[in-house]
Amino acid sequence: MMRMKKSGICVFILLLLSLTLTACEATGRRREPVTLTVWHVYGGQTDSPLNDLIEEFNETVGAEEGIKLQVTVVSNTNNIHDAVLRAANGEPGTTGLPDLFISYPKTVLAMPDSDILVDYRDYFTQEELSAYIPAFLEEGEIDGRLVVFPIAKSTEIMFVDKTLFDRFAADTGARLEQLDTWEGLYAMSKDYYAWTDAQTPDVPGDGKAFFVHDYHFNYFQVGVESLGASFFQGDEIAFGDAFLQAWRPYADAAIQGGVWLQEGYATEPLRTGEAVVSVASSASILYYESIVTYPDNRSEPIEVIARPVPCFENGERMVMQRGAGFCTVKSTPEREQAAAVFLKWLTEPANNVRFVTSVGYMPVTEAAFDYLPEAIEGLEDPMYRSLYEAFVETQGSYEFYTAPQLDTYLELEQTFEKMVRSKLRGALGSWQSGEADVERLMETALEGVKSALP
Amino acid sequence: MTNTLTALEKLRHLTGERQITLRRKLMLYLLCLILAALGIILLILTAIGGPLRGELQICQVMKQELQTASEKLSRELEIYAGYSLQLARELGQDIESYLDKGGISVRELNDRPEALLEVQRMMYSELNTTIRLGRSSGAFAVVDATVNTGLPNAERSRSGVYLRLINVSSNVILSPETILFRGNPEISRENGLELHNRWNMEFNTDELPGYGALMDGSETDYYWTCRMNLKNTWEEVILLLVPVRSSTGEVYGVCGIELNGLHFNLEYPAAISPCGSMVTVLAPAEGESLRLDLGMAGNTEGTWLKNSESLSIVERKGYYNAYRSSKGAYYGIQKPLEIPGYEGRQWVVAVLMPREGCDQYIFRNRLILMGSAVGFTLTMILLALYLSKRFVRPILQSFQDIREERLPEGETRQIAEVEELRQWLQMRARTQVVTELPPNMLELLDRFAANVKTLTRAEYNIFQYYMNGYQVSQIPEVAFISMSTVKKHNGNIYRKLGISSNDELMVYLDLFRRCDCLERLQPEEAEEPGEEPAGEIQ
Repeated sequence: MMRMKKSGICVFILLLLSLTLTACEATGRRREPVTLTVWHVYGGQTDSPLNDLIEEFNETVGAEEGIKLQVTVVSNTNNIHDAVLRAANGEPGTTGLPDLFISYPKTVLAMPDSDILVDYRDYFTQEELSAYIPAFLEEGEIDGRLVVFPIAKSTEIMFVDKTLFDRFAADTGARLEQLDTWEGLYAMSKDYYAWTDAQTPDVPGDGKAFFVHDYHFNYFQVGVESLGASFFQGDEIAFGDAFLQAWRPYADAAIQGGVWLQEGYATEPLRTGEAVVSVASSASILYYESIVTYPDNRSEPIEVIARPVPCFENGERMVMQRGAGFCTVKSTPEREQAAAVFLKWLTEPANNVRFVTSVGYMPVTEAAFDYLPEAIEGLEDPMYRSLYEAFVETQGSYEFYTAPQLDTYLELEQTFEKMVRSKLRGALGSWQSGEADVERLMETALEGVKSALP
Repeated sequence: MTNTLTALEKLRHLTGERQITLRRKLMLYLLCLILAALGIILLILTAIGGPLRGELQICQVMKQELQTASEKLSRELEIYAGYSLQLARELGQDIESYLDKGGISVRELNDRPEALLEVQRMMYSELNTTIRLGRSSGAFAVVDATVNTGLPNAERSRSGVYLRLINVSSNVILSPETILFRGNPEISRENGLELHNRWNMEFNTDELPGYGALMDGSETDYYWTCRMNLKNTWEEVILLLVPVRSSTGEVYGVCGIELNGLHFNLEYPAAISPCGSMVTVLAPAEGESLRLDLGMAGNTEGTWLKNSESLSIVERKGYYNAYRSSKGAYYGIQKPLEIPGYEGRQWVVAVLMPREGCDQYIFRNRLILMGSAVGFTLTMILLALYLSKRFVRPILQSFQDIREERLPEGETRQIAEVEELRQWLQMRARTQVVTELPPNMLELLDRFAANVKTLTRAEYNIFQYYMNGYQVSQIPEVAFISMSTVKKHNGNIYRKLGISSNDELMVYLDLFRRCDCLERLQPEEAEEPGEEPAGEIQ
């Protein structure tokens, strides 16, 4: 009897223990995702290829590892720059920094405290980092800490609306090869303005711009450096002879209507048929459409081709290397590790090539370049194929220039960009109003730019 | 020190002698049984679900969140509706005034770029104000005319302006930057705006659900569309469409605002609870389905919920519903939202939690309660077993002793009832003994008293303990001598007094006590004053 009682108690206790263990086991299986918020630039307001990749990550590696990425901003680097600085400064109305955001080093330099960002060396081994192209990693180093992680690199490329160009060339004999030099491009810009103005003889002064540059600051910076001079003198711009050599043909064409001087990105006037040629980031290919829409709402299919950027006749072939990277905001080791898992996945050669060829960038690891030729061959869109042909040509014959990390860089860039457009717009207005002395207008505009700089 | 120990020992002895009644023991036993029964009931209640179950707690959390989200959402949508109606009134007046001034009808705006640009300028001004004051992520206005009727599909192309925030996540700043999604690029240049990456000159009315019905008057009031993708972008919106009318009721076009998916995501963060994240959802309800694929989901942090799935109510539990999609299962509750939906759709606001997390929470909760109940019941059962054993053993032992006549006379049991029984049995036995005494009893008593005087002092001391009512087993303890010494003295006492057992001794003592002549049992030397029996406790 006593033995039976003891056995009953033992069974009871065993049952209780097994229930407890089951609960522990069930708790162990539970896997709520670590959710990371992301701000990026790959897609702007369009369908974002990176969003698709993030979705793929969430459903594969993320699902296995319990990581979910949630994109809350897809914009351009300027907007993200502003949003990051506002959030980093704790301005009212901001939503706080996300876990991951795309940034140029200049944004990090402008942040009040870059120590809030993760040093990727804490999450990547030396062996893992050795797979990346060293120059790309160096670009993301600030104060000895790797805080901007490269996932894709771009350069500047020239895009041509070949449909409109051919129409112009058929009438004037213009050749694409003339666009190999800045001098040729600016001369053609003036010709184009005159040609379009002549299309409607009854409406004088309604010519159109031929050329638009996304970043005038980059044009002058690379231009001056390609002419063998330094663009910067300390923390300021050196307005030397080389600068003047870059300024004169550009301002001459701009004042005479050949250059688009409105605010905004270069893709805009190309989409409305108000410009034919642009120099912009290779990544902007995502924003070019294969149609142009005119003011009367007519739409016309166009062919957009890419070419290496022009250079000066007596200058070196030099081009700006661009490409922001991902910054990770310090949080918990679990979240930081999750961010590193995503970045490692995104920069795996196959994934990286898939990503960059959908957004007009170059990969960031040596191994990924092996995948690139095959990926280029597989590109169906002729615009993308043209871009990568131009990329390959640029890589083979151009020297890449990387902007220096100056504390004053951002302010100089923004002010210069705004003032050059503004002063030349003023000069253009004067020219259109009958002021014939272009030389004087050029000098006045330059003085205006100089005096407005900090 | 020795005295203290002795006193404590005496106290323990006296306490040990205290008798507990059977009733008290039984009461204690029953009390344990009642508590054990309570534990078992609690266990059963917990197992099958009862007032303590985790479901109720989860339901309360959900209700609170739903109430908060519902109030916030209603307020926000009311504000949007208010601003949109105001926008429609202002635009109606502006366009009417412009058309009257030009002496043209709205249809005569077709193919007139300058006039349409002027209308768009008015629209821009009103839309800009609406975005800034209404805090929406986008606002639009469409007039029922196109800039070029000669184009293919011109009947579906309508002139208008669609302004959107550049950065939805920062829409709370005072001067949000806007971008031109639809409209004449001249508007963007005049106002320093960028063109949206997927800008178009005009609206395609296919992208405005119900536009035709609003224009032909079959739809007369404003309504919210289902969620839709803004063509060629990654953004998704729900649009509020309001007809723009003249003072005479002629419909000029439509206007409204957007509820942006990202804005919703940011405004309705996931609430963290002990059972996981809780997501707020705004979606049309269709029978037992929650059409999240047509609605909005707040921040889904901590869950795998995707807003591309439709959820079905698979079970209406007592406190909440069980939902299932193709990829996950959720618990949640929903509440109708009083907003006009396109094609009469009924919208609901709901809060959802991953089922797995809830189930684990409920299980854990139940397990803790069950564990406590099991532990409690087990303790009570063990206590009852122990007590019953303690309860039964002395009774059985007493019965055994009585049966075997092992219990020496004078020794008492702790159970009062048993002791009473034993004493009654002893009394009866004594009565029997007394009735059997021989007729020369006085002579026997005299001889017994004379024999007492032959006892040595040590023997008399032992004898005196018997006179005082002590049992044989108690004497070694109180006299601080060993049992063998007691037995040795007992042997001498029995021999000298001419008796053969302790019972016989007790009978003699009882007889002397009853005759009230115990003083006759004194030794010769005991008459000396000041002498006490050896070993007596002081």
